[in-house]
Amino acid sequence: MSPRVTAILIARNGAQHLDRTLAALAAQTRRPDTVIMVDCGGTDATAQLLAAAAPTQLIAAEAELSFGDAVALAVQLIPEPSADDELLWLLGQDTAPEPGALAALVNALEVAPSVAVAGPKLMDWERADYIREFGETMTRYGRTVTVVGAELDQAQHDDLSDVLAVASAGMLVRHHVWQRLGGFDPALPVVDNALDFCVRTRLSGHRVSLVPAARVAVAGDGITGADSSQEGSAVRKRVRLRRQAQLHRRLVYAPAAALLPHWLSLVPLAFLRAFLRLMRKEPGSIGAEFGAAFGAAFSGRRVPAARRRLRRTRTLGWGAIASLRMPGAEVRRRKALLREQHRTLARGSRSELAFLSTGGGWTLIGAGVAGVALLAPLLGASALVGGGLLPVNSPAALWQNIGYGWRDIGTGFVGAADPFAAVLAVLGSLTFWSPSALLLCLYFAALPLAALGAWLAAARLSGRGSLRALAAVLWMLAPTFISAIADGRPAPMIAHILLPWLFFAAAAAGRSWSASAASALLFAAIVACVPSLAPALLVLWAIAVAFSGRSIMRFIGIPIPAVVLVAPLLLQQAVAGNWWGLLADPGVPLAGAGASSWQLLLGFPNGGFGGWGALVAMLGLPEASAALLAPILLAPLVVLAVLALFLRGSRLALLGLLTALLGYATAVAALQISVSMLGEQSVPIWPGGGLSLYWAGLIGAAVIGLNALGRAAAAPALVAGVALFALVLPLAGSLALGAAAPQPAAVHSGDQRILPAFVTAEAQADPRAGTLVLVPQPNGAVLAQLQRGAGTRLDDQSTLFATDTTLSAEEQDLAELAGNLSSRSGFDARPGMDALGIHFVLLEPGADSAAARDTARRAASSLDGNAVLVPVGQTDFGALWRYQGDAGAAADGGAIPPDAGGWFGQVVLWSQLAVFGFVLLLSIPTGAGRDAPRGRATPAAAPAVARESEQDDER
Amino acid sequence: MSASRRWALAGARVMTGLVGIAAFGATVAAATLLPLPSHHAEPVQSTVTPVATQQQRVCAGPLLALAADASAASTASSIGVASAVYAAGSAGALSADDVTVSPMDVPDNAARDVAGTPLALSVPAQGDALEEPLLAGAQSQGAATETLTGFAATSCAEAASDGWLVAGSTAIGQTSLLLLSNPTEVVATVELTVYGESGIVDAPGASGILVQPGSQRVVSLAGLAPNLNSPVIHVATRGGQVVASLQQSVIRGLAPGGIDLVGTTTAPDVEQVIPGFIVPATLIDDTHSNDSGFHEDAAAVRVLNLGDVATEVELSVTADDGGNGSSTRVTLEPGVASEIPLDELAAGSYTLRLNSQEPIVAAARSTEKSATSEDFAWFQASGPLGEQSAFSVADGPAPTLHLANASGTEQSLTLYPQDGAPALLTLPAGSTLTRPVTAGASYTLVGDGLGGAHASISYQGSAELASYSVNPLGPLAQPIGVYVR
Repeated sequence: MSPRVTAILIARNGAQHLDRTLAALAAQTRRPDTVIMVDCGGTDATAQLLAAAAPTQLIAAEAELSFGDAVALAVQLIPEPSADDELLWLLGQDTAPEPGALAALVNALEVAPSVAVAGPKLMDWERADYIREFGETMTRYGRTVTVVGAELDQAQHDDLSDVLAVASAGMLVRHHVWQRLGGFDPALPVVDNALDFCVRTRLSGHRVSLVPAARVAVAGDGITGADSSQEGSAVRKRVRLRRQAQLHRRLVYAPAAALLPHWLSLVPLAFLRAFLRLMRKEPGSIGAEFGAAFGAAFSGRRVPAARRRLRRTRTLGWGAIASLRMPGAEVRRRKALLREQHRTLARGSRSELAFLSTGGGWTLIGAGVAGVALLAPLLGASALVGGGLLPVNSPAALWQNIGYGWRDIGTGFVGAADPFAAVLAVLGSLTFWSPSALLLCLYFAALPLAALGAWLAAARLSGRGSLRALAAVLWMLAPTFISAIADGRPAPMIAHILLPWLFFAAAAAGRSWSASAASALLFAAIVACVPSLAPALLVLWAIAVAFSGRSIMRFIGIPIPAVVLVAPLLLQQAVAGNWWGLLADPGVPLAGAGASSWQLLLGFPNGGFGGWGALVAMLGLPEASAALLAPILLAPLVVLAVLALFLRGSRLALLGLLTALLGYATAVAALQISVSMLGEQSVPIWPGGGLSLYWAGLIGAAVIGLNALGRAAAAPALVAGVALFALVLPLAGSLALGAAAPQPAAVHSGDQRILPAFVTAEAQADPRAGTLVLVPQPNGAVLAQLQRGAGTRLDDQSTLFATDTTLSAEEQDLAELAGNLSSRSGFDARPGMDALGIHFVLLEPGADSAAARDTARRAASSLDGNAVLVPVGQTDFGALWRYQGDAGAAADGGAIPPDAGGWFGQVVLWSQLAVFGFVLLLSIPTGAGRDAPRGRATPAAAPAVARESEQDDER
Repeated sequence: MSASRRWALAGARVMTGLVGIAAFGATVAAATLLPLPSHHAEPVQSTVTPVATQQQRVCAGPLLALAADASAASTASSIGVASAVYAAGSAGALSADDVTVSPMDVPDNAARDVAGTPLALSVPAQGDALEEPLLAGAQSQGAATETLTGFAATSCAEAASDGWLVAGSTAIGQTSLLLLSNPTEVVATVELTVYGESGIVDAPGASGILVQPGSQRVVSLAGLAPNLNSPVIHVATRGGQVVASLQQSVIRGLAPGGIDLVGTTTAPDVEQVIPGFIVPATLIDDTHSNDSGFHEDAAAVRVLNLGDVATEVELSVTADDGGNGSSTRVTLEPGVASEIPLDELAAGSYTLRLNSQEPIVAAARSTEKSATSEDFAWFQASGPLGEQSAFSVADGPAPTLHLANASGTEQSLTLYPQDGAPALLTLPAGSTLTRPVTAGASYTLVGDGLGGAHASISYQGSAELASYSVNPLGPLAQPIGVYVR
C-alpha cells in the first residue's frame, strides 16, 4: 500500500507568493492525496486564490493562528492514523516545492521506517541555486544553529542526512508520530517549533532525516519560521522570538533541579545581553531581549505543559542526541569567520581618513607648538586665574555638583545644576590628581585638540591633506577661540574644541550607531557649554533628520542626552517662568565688551576689531584703519566660502553657509539677551559661541570650494591662511606677550586661592566657614557675595542663581546684613552672621569709579567701627575682617541640609546616569555587530552577514 | 553627461549661489541695520536703610596757643573757653536737654583743666526707628591775646574716616595746628597726606598717628610740612574715626593777624559750592605779601585737583545781592594746591561755584580789617542739604544764614527756629538767599526733593570774621543699594 500524504498549507495574507506555491503544489510528480488549506484571515486575495486551487478542504480560520495551531486545526479534520505510512506535509504560503520534492521526501520515509520526520533542502525564493537553510541543530547550550546556512548550492551538502532537526517548511512527518507527540509546542508559535518537535521526535526513539533531493523554495514571509525581512521592526521581532524560544526550550529541556536557577537567571542575563547588544551597536534589540526574558519567565502554564509533553513521550536519554548537536569547535570556527568578516569591512571604511599619510600628525605637532608659543607667559604656572577662570573642586565634589541638589552659591538653595557642571565633572576626573590641572591641561591642549577636530571634520569634505591642514589652522586660530582663551571663558573654549568633532561624528552617524551615539554625547556637551547654541544646532539637526532617509533612527535620537541633561534645569526655569534664563552662559557671569553686529560679522566677539583697535591706536594710525584692515584680512576666507556655492559640491557648501548664517544669527541674538546678573551689571550672553558655529560654516564652505578648485586651490588657500594669521595677530599677541601687549589678556598665572590665605587656612578646619565678600559697584551700591570655605568654585556656579530675579528670604537677610555692615548702623549683626555662618568679611576694592570708591571708603570705615568685627588687615584680595561668633550657633550656620536633592535628585541622577551610560556604551566603537560593515557588504553576502550576526551568544 | 544636463546643473549651481548670497546679504543687512528686539534682565537691587544709631558730634574745643610757655614750646595750651551751642531732637522740636555731652581728653593741652576740653555730643537713636535723630552743635570763641586776636567759629562735626582740610599755612608767621578728635570707642590710626603748591609733600611723621578713643591729638602742621603757603590736608583713618579741624593763626611782625578754626570741606567732586563767601571792604596791603609775592590777606580760593590729569576749573562768582556774576577759567595740574585770587571782588557776600572735569576740593578765604586789628576766615564748600538738617548758631557778631541753590530747579525750604514760627523760604534755580539768624539758637531746615541747596553760617564784625558750613549727614548712614548676585 502506498503512503497516504496529506498536505497542509497555511496562508495568511500571502497572495504575493501563494500563486507560485499553489502552482508548484499542482506540479508535483507525486501529488498529495489530500490537500487541506487553512486561511488564517487576511485582507488580500488569499482566500480567492486558495478557493481557486480547489483543495480537499479549505478552512477559514479568522483568528491569527500560529503555524503550529493552524496545522493542528487541519489535522483534526483527518481521521486518526491507522498506519505508519500516513504522512503530513507541512507547507506555508511561501514554500514552493520543486516538482520532485514530495516524491523524494515520501521515498525517504518509505525506505527507512525509523525516520519519522524528513526535511527538504530550503532554497532561496529568488535564486534557485542558493541554499537558505538545510538542517537545524543546537549547540551544547541549546542555541539554535543551522547546519548549513546561506550558501551557494554546489551539491556540497548532499551527503547530509541524519540531523537533529529540520525546518518546519516542507517538513514531512508521520501522522501518528505527530499525534503521539502532540504536534508543535504552542509556546513556540514561530521560531524553533520544528526544532523542538524534532528534538522530541528524536527523544521518542525516531530519526529525523534530510532529503537533499527535495528542494523547496522559501520566501521567508514569517509563516513557517521567522520573517526574514530586514525592516527594523521585523529584525527586532525576530530577535525577540528567537530569544524567547531559546529561553522557553531551556526551561523545558532543563532537569527539574536546574529549573529554578535557570528561571532566576533570566532577568540578570537579559541585562548582560542588553549590554552586549549595546556594545554590538544593536540598540534596537535591547527591548527584544527584555521582552523575551519576561515573556519566557511569565509564560504561565506553558512551560509545565511542555515539560509534561516531553516527559510523556521521551524514551531515550539526552545523551542519545548529544552527537547530533553542533560541536564547540565548529561553533568557534564560525564565530571566528564572522569576526574576520567584520574586521575586514571595518578596516575598509576607516582607511579613508589616512591620518598620518596626509599630514595629520604634522598638523597636530604644529598646533601643539603654536599652543605653547601662544601661551608662553603661562608656562610653568601652577594655576590659571583671571576672567571667568576659577579653581574647580576635587573630582568627588565635582560629581556631587551635577544633577539636582544643593547649589552652594550665595546663601545656597536646592536646584538643578548647570549641564556644564557635568562637563566639568568629566574633565575634572581626567585630571584627578589636581583640581587646578584641569584648566592648565585645557589651556595647553586647546589648540591641538581644536586643530585635530577640524582636521578630521575637514577629512569628511576633502581628501587632500593640505586642505585638511588649512581647515585645522583656520579653526584653531578662529578669533572667537583666541578671545575665549584670552578672556578666560572655559565653556566656549570647550564648545569650540568639540564643535568639529560633532560634525565629524555626525557625518558618519547615518551609517554607524557608534558615530550616532558619539554625536549625541558631543551635542549634549556643546549645548551644556554654550546653551545659546542649542537653537542653531537643533535647526541643523532637523535638517539632518529631514534628509536622513532610511537612517533616520540614527539621527532622530541625537538630542536625547542633551534633553535629559538639561531637563531638570528646564523644568525649574519653566516653573519660575524664566525661559530666557536657559540661554545663560554657564560659569562666572562675565561681561564682554559688547561688539556691534558688524564686528561679529568679522568674527570678533569682543569688538575692538580683535585687538586691532588698540594696536592701531598704539601705532598712532588713524582709528578707521582698523575698521578697514580687519575686513580685508577676512575677505579671502569669505570669498572662498561664497565661491563654493558655484562649484562642485555646492549643495554641501550651501549647508555650510547656512551653518554660518545660523551661527551669526545666534551671535547677534546673544548680544540682545542679557539674563545673568552680577552686581549692577546685567551680563549679555557671550556671542562667541555663535561665532564658533559661524566660523565652522565658513571654513566648511571654503574647504568645499577649494576642494572643487582642484590644483588651482593652492594660492587662494595660502592667501586665506596667511591673511587669517595676520588677522588674529593682535589677539594672539595679547596672550603671548602677557602684560606687555597693548591689550593684555585677562588670563594669567596665579595661585589657586580666590580668597585671602587667612580665610583658606580657616577653611581647612571648617569647610563651611562663610566669607561675606563685599564688592563696591560703579553705581555706589554694594554686591554681597557669600562664599563658603576656600571660595565659590567654577563648578559651584549656577545659572539658576545668576538669572534669578527674585530674592529668597535668606538673600533678603543677607542684603540687610550687608547693607548695615556697610553703613554706620545700630543693627545687631551677630544673629545674622551666625545664621549664615559668616566668619569673615572681605571688602574688595571694587570698580574704578568715584561712587565705588566712596562706597568702599564708607564700608571700610563702617566695618572698622563695628565692635563685633576684628580687622585682620589688608590682603591681596581686599581688606579683611574677622567675626568671632557664638561657637554653638556658628557651627550650624551654613551647613548643607542633609539629602538636599531628595527623591527628585535621585531620580534625576539615576535617569541621567542611565541615559548617558547607554549612549556612552553605544558610542564606543567596537567594530562589532551590524555597525559599519553592513552597508558595504556585497549584495550576495548581505543576507549571510545579517543572519549570522543575529545568532545569539551562548548564554 | 549630455550637454543639456550639464547646462541644467550649471544653472542650478548659479541659482544656489545667488540664493545663498542673497540669504547671506539679507541676514547681515537685517542684523546690522534693523533695530533688534532685546531681552534685558534687570538686576535686583535691595535698598537697605541702615538701622538708626546714636548720632555723635565733636566740638573741637578752645583755641590753642603754641609756645605760650617758653619752657614747653612744643606743647599747646588753650587760651580761653569756647562757647558751644547744641540741640537735638526732630524738625521744629530741637532741645539741648536731649544731648549727652562728654568732655574729651586732650593730653596735648597743658591747660585743659582750666579752659575746658573738646566736647563729644551724642544723642541715642529712638528705639528701632530708621529715622536718625537730628543733632547739631557749633562753637565760637574770640581771641584777644598778644599773639592771637580775632574770632573763630566752627560747627561741631560728625566723625569720619576720610576728610579734606583746605586751610592753613606753614609760611613764616603762620601757625597751623591739626586737631584730631576721636569720639569712637576704637583707636583711630590717622594717615595724613599733605598737598602743597608744588605737589604732594613727603611728610615722614604723617602716617600712623594714633588717636585714642575719646581723646584729641594736636599736631603742628609745620612739623610735618614746613614752608607751605597753601597746604591741603587729606585725613584718612583706619579703625576709629576722627573729627579733623585745623586752627590757623597769623602774626605779622609783632601784631597778631587773626585766627580761624576750620572744619573739613566737602568730599572731592567735580562741582564744589561755597555759599556765603564774604569779602569785607578792605584794600590789599602790599606789605603783607611774603617773599614769594603771596598775598596772605587777599580774598582767594584754594583748589586742589585730585584727578590724574590736568583739568580746567571754571570758577563762577555770584553776588548774593543779585549783582552780576563773573566767571574765570583756570587750568590746574593734578595734585598741586593752587590759590585763585579774587582781588577784584567788591565788598559783599558771594556764592562761589567751581566746576571741573576731575574731582576737586576747595575752600575760600578772606580778611576783615579794622583800624587796629584784623581777622581772616575760611569758607568751606558745603554739600547739598538732605531732607532734614539741623544747625546751631554759635555766639558771635551778626550771624547770617546763607542759602544757595546750585541746582536747575526751584527749591523750597522751611526754616524752623527753636522758638517761633517756621518760615517758608523759596529759592529759584541758581539763586541765593541771606537771612539773619539768632546767636545761641538752633534751627532745622526741612525741604523735600532737595539736592541742590547749600547752606552756611557767617559772622562779621569789626576785625571779626568767621564762617562754617551746614553739612548734610555723613554718607555712612545713607541708604545703600545691595545686590546679592
